[in-house]
Amino acid sequence: MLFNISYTSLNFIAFVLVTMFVYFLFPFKKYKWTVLLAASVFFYAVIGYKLAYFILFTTLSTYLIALWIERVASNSKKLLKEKKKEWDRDQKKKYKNKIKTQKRLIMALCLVLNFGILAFLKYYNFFAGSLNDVLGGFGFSFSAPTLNLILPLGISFYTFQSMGYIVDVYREKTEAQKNPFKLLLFVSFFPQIIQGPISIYDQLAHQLFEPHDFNFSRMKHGMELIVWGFFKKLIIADRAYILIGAVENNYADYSGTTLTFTILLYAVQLYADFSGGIDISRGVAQIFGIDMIDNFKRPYFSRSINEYWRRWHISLGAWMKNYVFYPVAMSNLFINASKKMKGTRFGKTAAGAHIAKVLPTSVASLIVFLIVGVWHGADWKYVAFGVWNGVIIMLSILMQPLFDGVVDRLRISRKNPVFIGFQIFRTLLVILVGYVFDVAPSFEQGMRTIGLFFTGQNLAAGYAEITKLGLGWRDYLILLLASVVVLVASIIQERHPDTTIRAMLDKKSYVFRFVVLYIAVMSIVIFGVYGSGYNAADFVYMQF
Amino acid sequence: MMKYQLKVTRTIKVSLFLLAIMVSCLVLQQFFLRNVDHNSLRIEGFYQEETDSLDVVFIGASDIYTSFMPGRAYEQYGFTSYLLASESITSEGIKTAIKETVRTQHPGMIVVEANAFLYGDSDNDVNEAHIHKFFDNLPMSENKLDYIQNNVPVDQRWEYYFPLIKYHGLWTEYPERLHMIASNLTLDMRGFNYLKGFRTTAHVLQPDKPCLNSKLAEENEELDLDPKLEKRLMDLLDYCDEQKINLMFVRAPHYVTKDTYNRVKRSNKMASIVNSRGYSYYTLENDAQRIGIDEKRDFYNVDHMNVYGAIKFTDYLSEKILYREELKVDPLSDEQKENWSEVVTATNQLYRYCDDIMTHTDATKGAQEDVYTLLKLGDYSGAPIERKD
Repeated sequence: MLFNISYTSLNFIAFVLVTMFVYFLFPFKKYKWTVLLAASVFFYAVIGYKLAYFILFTTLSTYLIALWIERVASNSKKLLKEKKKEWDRDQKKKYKNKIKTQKRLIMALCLVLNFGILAFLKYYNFFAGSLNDVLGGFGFSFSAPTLNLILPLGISFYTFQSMGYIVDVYREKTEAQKNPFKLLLFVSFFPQIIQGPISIYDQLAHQLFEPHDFNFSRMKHGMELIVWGFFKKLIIADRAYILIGAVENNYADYSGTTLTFTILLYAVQLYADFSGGIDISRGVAQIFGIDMIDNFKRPYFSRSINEYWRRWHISLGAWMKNYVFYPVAMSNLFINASKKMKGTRFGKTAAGAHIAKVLPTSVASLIVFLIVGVWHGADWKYVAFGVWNGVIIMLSILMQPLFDGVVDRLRISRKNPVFIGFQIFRTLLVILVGYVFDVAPSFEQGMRTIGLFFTGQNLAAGYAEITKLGLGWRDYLILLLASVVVLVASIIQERHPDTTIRAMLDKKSYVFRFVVLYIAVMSIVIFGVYGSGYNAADFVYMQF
Repeated sequence: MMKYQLKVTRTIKVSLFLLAIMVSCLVLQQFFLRNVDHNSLRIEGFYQEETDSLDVVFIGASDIYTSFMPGRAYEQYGFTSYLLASESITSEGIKTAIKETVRTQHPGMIVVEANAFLYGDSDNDVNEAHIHKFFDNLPMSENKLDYIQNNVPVDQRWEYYFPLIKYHGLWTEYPERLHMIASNLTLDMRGFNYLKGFRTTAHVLQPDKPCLNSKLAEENEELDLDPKLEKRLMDLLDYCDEQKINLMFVRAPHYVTKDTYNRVKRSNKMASIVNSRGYSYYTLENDAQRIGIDEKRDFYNVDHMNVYGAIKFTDYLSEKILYREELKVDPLSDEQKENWSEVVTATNQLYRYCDDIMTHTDATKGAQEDVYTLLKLGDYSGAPIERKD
């Protein structure tokens, strides 16, 4: 990094202000998007100039291959039109299949190239290490070399986003972008490059290229969202990370009570960190008139793990659903397997019919979560994280009739607040077990931690340890108060899902808004964890 | 028309909000979330001094602000002085302090204590804490900006422009910090620093290593300065040549042991460099015994003298400045004289307060310009001190 321009630095605020002035005062309306492009290129150059050729390669390869796919498609359509009368139905079908295969191969080339780079940079050492372990276990002396690989910043995000675009072009859901610089802007748009959200081309691109005039209301809402993001990131997440980081440094030394507390705090920290960062990104984009998708919908209020993944990292979930889940679930392999099962004796029973019906969905879910796990990092613990979530979702799909039957037999109303509370609590427990693999330094330590939940609780030892982990009572008080503020805001938002708290705030008097915003800003100034007096944590999702 | 009105109203509302935030931040930065310590009170006191009212300004690290007592110098030798010094000040800090002195005071003499140039390496010059301790307390000026632009990495500059970024976390130290805030406020209200920057610790060193001070008078060997520090010394001398500054250097006495002996040799080298450029350098570390510094009684730790040593050093150095360097002393107004007589009283009270602690207790207590110390001084006489030789 040439200099610190992370989202929580003053340099970033100054950078956004300068970009804002240039953008809104730019005289050539048609080319306003070039200001965003220049800002994005500058931003990426500052944070990762040494590895910028990776993002350029992704953009260029995606750009060319999208055009290629589109050309093949349009040529084939032209030919089909010309041969409309000449060819019979079989000939047309044959030709269409040939073109489809050709397009698929071209698309696959792009996917292999770009996911190949991502996989190599992110997973080579993991596979080499695992291979060495396996071979060593069998007594082979061969050792695959490990390499000193550095991940370009945001590679997972921009690779997924670009590959989503290429699939959409292949599916003819979107036209290929003719201007490579516009595609570069889509791939590198600075508010989202560090940690997403992973946008869909059709949803984002046109907003980027349209000229937006200054709009006070949008600017105000954007700023409010940024303030809210800073509140979560600097007051909660980075403060909580002081303890979590300390535990991570000597993970094996702590008691079950401390580890339990750390996992609970991690749930708070991760949400505040990631959703705070996304709020900053969305707020900045909103100032420029661009609405990016919301990545979170109060995920800890979810009543099932399935719902949780629809509320957490929504853009990744949507990407997986569009580009992995449906292609897998709808593939001939699974559809045929399902049909086959239905034809068996077991498939004729009620349970068998249900299992046959949901088999493609549940297996696709398991595959998706395996990928989600690996996406988070190259380590067996992330594989375990993915498998844990995938298995729970698979089981919940397979056993849904059983659960429904139990609830019906017990005559529990699904709207009963106690039952809802139970569902939320149960889901939280499942989520927390998954988080263990995030926090623990290895899969083995993760398993040990889960064991300690049951056997290693020692309140006195835990208290003695926790009080020495860098946070004083004042910090805990601030953490508690700030978390309550977030909780209250989430409850209000949950009760009014069709509007935003900012819109609600708009309806209040100037004095009320003044006081609320003043308290928010001054809380960040005073209680935020920032500056060189602190080692503020990087955004957790930056590493992915 | 409506649109115009709306724009005006919005502008006013937004401006009001931004103003409230800015004013709140400034108040916090200036008073409540400021790292007030003895360094800040000393430096703030310097800027409270009337323009061109000082005869001598002492610049350096703790080596000088624990050694020289301006109140004593005024009482016994009649010249006014101030210690523009900061804990472990860097060589760049020394240069900036000289520039600030020239900008605000034009004293008859500037005395630099050599410590900043005598380190075995240049690590102190990049020690963030030591840099901040001095520069955070300087008011914004061209000299401060120069330092920031030329020495501070881009990432860290905001912290110098807006110290709140660095110190906002001090809220966790309340209410313990309240007395320093009170000290700052009382200094603001009084308008001058009672001790003119002097600070000490009431304690007598109980050494665990033999003292080599008796050998120092004979020690002529020289050891090269760290190249970076030597270059900065040369830059400093060039600047003083250019500005025709009446500058002299001094090395205060220390409890020299085998571990710190090389500093003496580097001090000898520095003396040669400085002398060759036509400036005086008083190697009073080597002359500690001649001054009468008693190694068993006159230090509170190996690097600093207590008030027993400081009073001897002050007398000795004052004589040198006055008679050998022929300092021209400016006359004072009645009001200035009145203030200085308060300084003399406070200094003498402080000496007696420390003497009392050192004579009757085993305690180690810091004594400086703060409300705790100043409150206690009222119990002691401010009459002239008779040195305990």
